[in-house]
Amino acid sequence: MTGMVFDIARFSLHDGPGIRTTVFLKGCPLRCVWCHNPESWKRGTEIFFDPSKCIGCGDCGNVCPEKCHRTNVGGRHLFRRGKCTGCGKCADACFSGALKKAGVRMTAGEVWAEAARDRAYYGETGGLTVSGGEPLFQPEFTRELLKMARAAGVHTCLETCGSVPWETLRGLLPYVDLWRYDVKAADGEKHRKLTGVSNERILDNLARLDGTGAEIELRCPLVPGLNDAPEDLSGLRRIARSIRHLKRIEPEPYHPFGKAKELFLGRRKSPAWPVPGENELERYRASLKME
Amino acid sequence: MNANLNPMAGGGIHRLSETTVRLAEKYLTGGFRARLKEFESGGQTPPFPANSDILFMQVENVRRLARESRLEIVPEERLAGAAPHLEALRHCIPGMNGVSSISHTTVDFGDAVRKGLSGLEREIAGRVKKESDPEKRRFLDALLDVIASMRIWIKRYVSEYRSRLKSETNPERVSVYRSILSNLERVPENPPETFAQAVQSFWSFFEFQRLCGNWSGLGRFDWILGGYLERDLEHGVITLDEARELVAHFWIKGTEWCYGLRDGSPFRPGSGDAQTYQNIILGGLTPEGKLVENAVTHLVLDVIGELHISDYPVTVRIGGRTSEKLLRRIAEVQLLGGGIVSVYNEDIVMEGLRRFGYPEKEVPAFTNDGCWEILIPGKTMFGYWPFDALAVFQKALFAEKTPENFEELYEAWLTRLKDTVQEFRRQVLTQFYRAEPDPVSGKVSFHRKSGAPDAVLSLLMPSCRRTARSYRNFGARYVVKAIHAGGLPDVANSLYAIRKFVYEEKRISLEELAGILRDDWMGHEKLRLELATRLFYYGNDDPGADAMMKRVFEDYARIAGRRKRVREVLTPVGISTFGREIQFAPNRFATAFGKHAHEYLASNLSPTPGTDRKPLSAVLNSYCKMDFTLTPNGCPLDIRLSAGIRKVPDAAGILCRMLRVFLEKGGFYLQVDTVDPEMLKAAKKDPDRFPNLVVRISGWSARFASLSEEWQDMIIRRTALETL
Repeated sequence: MTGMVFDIARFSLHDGPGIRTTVFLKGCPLRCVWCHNPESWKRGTEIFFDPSKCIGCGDCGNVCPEKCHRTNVGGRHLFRRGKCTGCGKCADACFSGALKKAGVRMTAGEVWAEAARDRAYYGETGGLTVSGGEPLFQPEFTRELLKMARAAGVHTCLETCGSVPWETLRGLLPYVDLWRYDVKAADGEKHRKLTGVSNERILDNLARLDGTGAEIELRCPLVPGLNDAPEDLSGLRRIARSIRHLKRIEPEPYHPFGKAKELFLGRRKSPAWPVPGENELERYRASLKME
Repeated sequence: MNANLNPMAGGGIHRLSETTVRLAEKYLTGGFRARLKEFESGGQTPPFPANSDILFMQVENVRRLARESRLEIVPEERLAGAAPHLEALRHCIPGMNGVSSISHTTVDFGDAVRKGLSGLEREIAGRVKKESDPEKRRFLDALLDVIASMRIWIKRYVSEYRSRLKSETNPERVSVYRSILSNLERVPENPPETFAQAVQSFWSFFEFQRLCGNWSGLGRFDWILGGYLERDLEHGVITLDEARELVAHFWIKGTEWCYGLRDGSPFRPGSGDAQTYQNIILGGLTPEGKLVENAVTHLVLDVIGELHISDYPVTVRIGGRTSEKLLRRIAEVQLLGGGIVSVYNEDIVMEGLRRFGYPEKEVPAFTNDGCWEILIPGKTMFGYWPFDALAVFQKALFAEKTPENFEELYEAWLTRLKDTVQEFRRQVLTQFYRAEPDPVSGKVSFHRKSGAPDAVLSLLMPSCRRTARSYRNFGARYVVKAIHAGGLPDVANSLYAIRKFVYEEKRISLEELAGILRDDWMGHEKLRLELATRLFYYGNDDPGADAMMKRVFEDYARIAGRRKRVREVLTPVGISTFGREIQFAPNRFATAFGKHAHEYLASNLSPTPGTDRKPLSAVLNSYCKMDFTLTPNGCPLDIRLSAGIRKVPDAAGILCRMLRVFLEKGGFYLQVDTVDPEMLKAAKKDPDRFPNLVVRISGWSARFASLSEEWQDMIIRRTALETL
């Protein structure tokens, strides 16, 4: 069983309780306008290209079967992505860090072996988190990975946007200790505008998940001016109140770290969204606070 | 937490009185330091008769210090006694300027506090009666003279306080003076009856040796004082809050040599104004197998957390039996930044000491010297001999004969290493012994060299009193000269890269690579980047790289530790840099793992900055693969956490878990700092805004503003590269 993995973050402190290893899987059904991980969208390998690190050695051009890379006499590196198949040979040959692979095919056993190196740090509270992208775009692989963690007695988290068929979610129920579930806007129209898809199935799956007794944390990415108006926050709060097995609800403040990655992936630059300040964060926390 | 004292802290628990916090601010900004003066201005010759011997001069000088040194009383202080002479900051004896004082050891203050001056006097007087050797009798008499001098010094404070009390009208001060006088009536002359007396007695002994210029460590603070506090709390003699104030004053007065910022003192060392080796140990097992974890342990951590004073580097001995409560408290204080509290894995430290051959009954008493080097307090004369292992390796690499295979190269490095160890042993022999050839047979016999006698520290060393010999004259039971290698991770990384690229993949010959390294990669940037990034080096939990580190570590420990002594001098193995990365850099060529010449490379046994590309757990996993019972003198790992970690829910719980893993995996000594790289840069530009921003250096912490620019740059650079 193999999966397409774009990062394994050991000693992760932000993706669930305690010290964890977070595995990021490729592929996502949403196109959030603020996306922090734009390299997660496509299912296949993509190539990051940071021209500022290129030393003009030309090795990438020598190994590329599609001749996507060309270095001018002046050392200027041109990367024609149109023909790129994502084979990654250029990145393997690049030692300056200018070219890097986003997405590597790995077996579940290989991924678990990496996570198991930190078994001692998990203790009672930490463990394995599978995230993305949308990990349920690779449900078989995700299940296999979670099963391995479970078999080792390690706590498991799944981070999902919920925009998948219910059957896919249901298949994971026996292997997930904590569901970290994204709700990005309560209003359906706004949700579609900001993520490209309706929240109907997401909210329906959330209710069904709650019905199974699963432990749930709601994560709400909030961007000033986009989805943080008082009615947005009260809508999220209303949804949270309807969840009987809610453990907590957390605002996920927007950060601009995805911006540079857009550029390196050759994507069109998205607008620069404002970063929430301390006062706004305080307002989010106060508005979402549950009794 | 007062933001003036710790700019890293946002809020916190206020337990100490306003007066105490203000006093701390005053001391930490050099308020007391401004009052320090030379004991002998103008470098006058002390009024000693011609042909006086050094012991006589010293005893006379101690008497002069006791009689004539300035008395310093800050009205808010709750402890009496000050060491106000500038010569001490130069590591010299005030009044005998030019004669070096003693540091890098820890005497037995617990023994002195328990016995008091009268008890020490009785013990020495009894010893004199049994002694027939006139030299030894003379030395014991000198110790008695020091006791008499200390009494004079204490009496002067008593009469000064009495006279101030007569004219004082402020009721708060009257109460403080009365309490100090009441304590001084009992101690340090007699064994203390209360916690307050025990703290005063400890301070008096500590401060008297500082008055005489010495820099002893303090030892196991909570073990020495915990029993007194528990008894007082039980009988309602003192409250926990009152006890915390006393501990705080002990810490504040410990900073009296701190320069602060505005003082352009010529004595300002590059490594900060807090490096006077005044180490304190908390926690750990006693020789009776009891665990020290008492109210004093927690009060000390409270005080450090609130006042952010770094002048006593504090190390907690943790082990399998340490409570979760104490681990969490340590983690909470570590998260406040400054790296003031570090930890030993005492189970491994003690195993190393046993393996080295220390008697079982001595092992649990261990403390340390100036930074973290392990020693048995009150019984050890300590020194160490540092060397740059990378420079030794590079000599082998650049030798005329090119090795044909990797093992030949490795052997060539071991040969150089053996030569270095031989040189160390030769120097130890020369330092401690005089060689005398027999005029008839020509056979050489070795005789101990006598160092300058010291009656002050020797008084506080039980083994010197017993042997009737001075600290520097083999009076200490254990005379130790440890060997310390720096740069071992850089050696291991170099070997790992060379094995892969030169001998396995045959990408380049060793000769060619050596030439490129000599030229500092000029014209070979692509190769440099490949060597720097294609492999994972030590610190990334990479089996291949860590196996090489383990091999280098074990071979060093085996070669340096093959013989445990040079005649009577013990030579335990340690690994350290203590910031010597700066001194080593100019003599280092570029390295095969992609570093340029003259870069600041690995500190202690931490990964080389910039090579640790995986997170903290990988660093700790790599480090813990070594068998630290082979390095009984110590081998630290330094880690820096980003200040952002404090926003993570239950950050203390996370750090606590990390400390537990450090224990479970068999680490030795861990220095944890929490840093904000941006704040460091701002503090360099605008030191007045951050007068007490404290950072861990290596074995000690320093006020960032008191570091020289060179040291500040090293800290900023390594923080940017290594913060996890």
